[in-house]
Amino acid sequence: MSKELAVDVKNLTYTYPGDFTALRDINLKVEKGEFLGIIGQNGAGKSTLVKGITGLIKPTKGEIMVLGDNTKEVGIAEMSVKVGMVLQNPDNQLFAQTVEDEVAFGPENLELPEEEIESRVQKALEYVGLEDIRDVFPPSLSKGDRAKVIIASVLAMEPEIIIFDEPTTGQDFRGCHQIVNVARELNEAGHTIIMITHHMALVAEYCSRVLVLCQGEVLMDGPTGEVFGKPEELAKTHIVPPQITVMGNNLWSELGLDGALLKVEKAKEVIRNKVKVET
Amino acid sequence: MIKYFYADTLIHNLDPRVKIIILALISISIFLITNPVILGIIFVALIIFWQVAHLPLKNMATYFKFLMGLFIFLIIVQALLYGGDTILIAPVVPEFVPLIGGIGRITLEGILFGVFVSARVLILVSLLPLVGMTTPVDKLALAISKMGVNYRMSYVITTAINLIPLFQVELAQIMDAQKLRAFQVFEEGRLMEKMKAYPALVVPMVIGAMRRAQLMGVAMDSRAFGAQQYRTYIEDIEMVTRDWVVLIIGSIATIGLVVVNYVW
Repeated sequence: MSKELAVDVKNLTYTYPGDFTALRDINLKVEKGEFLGIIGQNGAGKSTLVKGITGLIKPTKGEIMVLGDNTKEVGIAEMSVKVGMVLQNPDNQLFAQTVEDEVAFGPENLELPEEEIESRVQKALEYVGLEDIRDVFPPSLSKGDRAKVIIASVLAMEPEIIIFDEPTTGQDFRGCHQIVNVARELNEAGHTIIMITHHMALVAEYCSRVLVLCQGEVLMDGPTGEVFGKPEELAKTHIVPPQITVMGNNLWSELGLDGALLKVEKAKEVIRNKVKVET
Repeated sequence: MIKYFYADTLIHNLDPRVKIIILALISISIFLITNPVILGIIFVALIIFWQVAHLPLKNMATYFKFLMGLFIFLIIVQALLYGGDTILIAPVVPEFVPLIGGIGRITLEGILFGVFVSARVLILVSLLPLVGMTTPVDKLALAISKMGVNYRMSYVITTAINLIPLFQVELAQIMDAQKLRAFQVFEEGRLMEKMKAYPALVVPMVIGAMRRAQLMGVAMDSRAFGAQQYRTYIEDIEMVTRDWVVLIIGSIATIGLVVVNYVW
């Protein structure tokens, strides 16, 4: 039996004012609890697709169902408790004077009781490890911490689906993994995660499924190993799988691999078995 | 709204200095002109210029829609305060009451004057795109500096113009981020709520602008901005016969209309 759907995009076409069609006849089903990566070149339609899922833009044609609700019929405020989104530039998402106010901004808009707001803020800040700096002016934080404040702000809305739109842009190695680790933990806690990124190594390591968009259309959609196992297809949109996968794909027959190689740990294991080195 | 709009037309190809001078002349003249017919002639001429420049007329309709609130306000204020003999609605407060006597009286002359003032505003707003949308910003900068304005100052003016569309995008992103956190004041809130909500919109904008300005300053310094008192340009502008003809005809026509207004 198939799982319940978190997102069901049916024949979605979206044309921006000025006649630019960003998405053409997109179909996508995301089951609850999935960790979906969306990749593609700039201008492929990734951000437009997720904006459609949040209800920020309404389909020109087709429809988007989110947890059973049609985005055309439900208001954005109502949607915000079902689906949250961490946008790319943290600086455009910080409006409050303190970290605490920032995280409380959403729950306050929902007109929740004070105790509920406080408990949500506390929980969200603890989740990202910022509970000690709740009185700081958010724009004065480091880029990594600013991103965490945004994540906490989204968590405080307690949405079932969380979208990360290029959350690692401009972050250092540690920052990238910290952010995506939060996404993984949330996924393990039952949230459906959709992540747009240009960081293929992160996709390989964290996403269980990948959607590849190319010029507003779906080029590929499948389990991460399967998608990265077809480099010729990915090359059509100028995407190169992570180095470890490229190595695996090249040594496919020699290594006796079953599916694409996605993680360094796995590569180590395969090679060890092959050369029969005891550790 | 005043982003450069490419087309190969007479107005696009004019020397930007000619456009700036005529823009200034018309802007001054509409405040000197008191005859609605002459103002109407200017408005019709503007529409023709928009057509000549291939500018989308729907933009003008957008300005009109955007300024509608202001126009209504102007017409109401003028209708109540301008005075005049053709009384349409009798005063709420009788004339003999000291100080506030006559308040609430609406006159035809007042309404007409309100419409007249609104037309001036609309003409002014519709004039700007005839320069802004037909001149690339670098040419505008060059023209301003060739007209004697310090290059730094002309750079500041043109950069500001260039940044407007970027700020519009940024503003849309901030509002999206707010909507995603169930903030609906700008869509559904009352005026007071909107007023209170503005800091939340302005704070990220200002901080973003300051960060951008700082980065821009460093990038400009590293490319020798202001190293010499004078600078050269990759593409220069020069007045040709066509520019002189348009400048002379345009100036005579505009000044002529003002003269006709007073002589007529």
